[in-house]
Amino acid sequence: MKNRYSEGTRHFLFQRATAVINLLLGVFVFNFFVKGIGKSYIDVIEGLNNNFMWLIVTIFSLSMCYHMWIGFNHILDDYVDEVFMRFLLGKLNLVMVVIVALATSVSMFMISFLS
Amino acid sequence: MINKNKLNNDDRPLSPHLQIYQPSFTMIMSIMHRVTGAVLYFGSLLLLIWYVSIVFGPDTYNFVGKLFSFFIIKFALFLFTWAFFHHLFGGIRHFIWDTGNGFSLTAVELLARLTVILSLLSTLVVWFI
Repeated sequence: MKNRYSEGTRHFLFQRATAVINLLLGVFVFNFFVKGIGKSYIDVIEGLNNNFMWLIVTIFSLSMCYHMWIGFNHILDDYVDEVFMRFLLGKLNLVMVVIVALATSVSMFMISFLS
Repeated sequence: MINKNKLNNDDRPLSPHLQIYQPSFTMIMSIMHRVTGAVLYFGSLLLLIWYVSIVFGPDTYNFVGKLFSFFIIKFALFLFTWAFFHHLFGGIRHFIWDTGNGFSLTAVELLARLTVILSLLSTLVVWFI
């Protein structure tokens, strides 16, 4: 998978691989999030440290971000005809998913190891 | 990089687009898969705000918790959850299609209906049970 003509195939496969991870972990993460709203600070910290929830959130975020990156690039390919604009928005897309992935990972590591 | 714009001059005919077709249920569901994808893309920032608020300590966490408990925002979070399950079951539909099955008209209709029903049920279960 080195030439750029296989890029589409790689994205196709990775979109599905990350989809399986998102499906399995996302249900737990969304359930944790929805039930966590309004819970006390101590309860949420404890919830994240129970059953490796912080790790589930981290893996889900990384997988989700890769899935989002492919998906949003696909949307840009479909609707943005102007080459430079598509290139620019593609880079913004990358910045966005890297921020979400990094910030979530760092947060989860801090919560699990420093609290 | 090929410049697509050079090919996009006015003489070229355009392929039929959305406004040409009579909307159908399965077509709307296909659009919804993309719409929910985009909603989740930007909604991921809501999850991020919540995670980061935990790192910042009890005060920030409680502030965000209060913000998320406002009726309007809570309703938006409900729709966000629905978008997640809608995209999830829509994705399962795509996995079924990947195997080469489920392409008959009745199967396609059934899968689209199941996506709506199951996504709503799952959202209600996560929020109220």
